[in-house]
Amino acid sequence: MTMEKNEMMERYIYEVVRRVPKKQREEIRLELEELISDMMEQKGAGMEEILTKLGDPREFAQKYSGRHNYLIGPEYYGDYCWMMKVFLISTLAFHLVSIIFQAVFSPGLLLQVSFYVETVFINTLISLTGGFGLLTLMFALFERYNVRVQIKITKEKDWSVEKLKAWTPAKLPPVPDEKARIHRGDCIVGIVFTLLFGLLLIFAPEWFVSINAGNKSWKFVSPFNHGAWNVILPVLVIDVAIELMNEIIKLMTGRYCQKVMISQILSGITEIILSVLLLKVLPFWNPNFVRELEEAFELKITSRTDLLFYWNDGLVSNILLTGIVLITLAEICVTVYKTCRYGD
Amino acid sequence: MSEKKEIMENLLLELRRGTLILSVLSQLQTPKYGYALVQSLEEKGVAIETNTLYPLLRRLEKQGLLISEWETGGAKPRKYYRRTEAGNEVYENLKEQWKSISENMEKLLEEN
Repeated sequence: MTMEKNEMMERYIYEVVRRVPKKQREEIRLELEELISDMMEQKGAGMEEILTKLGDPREFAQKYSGRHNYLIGPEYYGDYCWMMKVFLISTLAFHLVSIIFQAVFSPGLLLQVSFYVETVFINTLISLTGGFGLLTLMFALFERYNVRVQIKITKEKDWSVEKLKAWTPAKLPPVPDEKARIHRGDCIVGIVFTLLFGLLLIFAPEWFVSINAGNKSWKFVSPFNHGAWNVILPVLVIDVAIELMNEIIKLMTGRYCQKVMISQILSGITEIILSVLLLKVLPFWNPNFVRELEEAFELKITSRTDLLFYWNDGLVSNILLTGIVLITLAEICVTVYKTCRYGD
Repeated sequence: MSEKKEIMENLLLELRRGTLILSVLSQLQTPKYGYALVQSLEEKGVAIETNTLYPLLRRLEKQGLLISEWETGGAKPRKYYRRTEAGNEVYENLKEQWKSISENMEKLLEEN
């Protein structure tokens, strides 16, 4: 039972044509008919032989439509990898913070297996794989439809004016002196702690002062003035943001130089001003702190041996402020010294 | 052994792929239809797979290097391709490049 020659040709052409874009189908069909009949005439070969020579119709169609056997080609691969890295790291960080929060607010969770299995493992895994899939799908679609996306990756210093001009070897900065280097690790630790501090301030200020009542229950007696928190919080957030910015500038620059020095001085001075504002001007402390403590824990602080006997808003403010000013000044001094001594 | 053969085949394919467009452009100063092009290349010792050539012709046309025309006067409709003005320019340019590449390769290979 042999197929008719024409029937075989039509089948072949159909198998090619149905896989190419609609607009090109008719013309490709004509082209193939011309080709196959030419081959028959001039080679005197049988249809089967000719079609075998032309090869798998799927491959033929693939060459016509110019599609490749890959999901994401070299044009997008760099951007894809970079986006993926950013996504994976930020997702992990987000989960880490949320896990810490949950554990802090309900320490009981730590004793439950489901917490580790569901919250820690499965949820994180779902976010990571889901995001991975979405991002990959997105880039695969870009590739497929040849979407020309110029993802401006702000890897480093993208905002600076000199970056706008073309790169030349002359712009290579000198290798910094060993002592002038700012280590990435230090900056990252700084950024993570500042971020955590900021998040806690915004979402859970009471946690700073949770005090264990002893009978396995947690009571929150805050030394902060939560009544005025709507005035205090913005100042604290600005403070955190400035500190964060300074750390990021250090991380991106990677060395002590004029830019880092200016950033450190400016952020240091602003932080001192904000601290004075917070501790000396705004009603920062809870005026009823000691009394609330006494009520909460059913005790009376009268003895000189109790630490809290010495609790005094003004005194605590002064001690804190002195500490903040000293540390900030020390940071500024170190930066100025290193910049002048080793920087460029 | 078969692995070596596979590597060899892939390398050969890569090598040929680079010369494909230049070979095709060289033959299309005067209009030719697809299968005539296959034959004229084959006669001159340049083997090209038909299922590579046809899509390639389309691509070159899309890039503006070739222009095609259906001729319906004969026994059956035929599609003729020839170089455009831009195609001529690109061809001359590529030809020069090829000459210098082949000269340099010659020198490299003679060293051994």
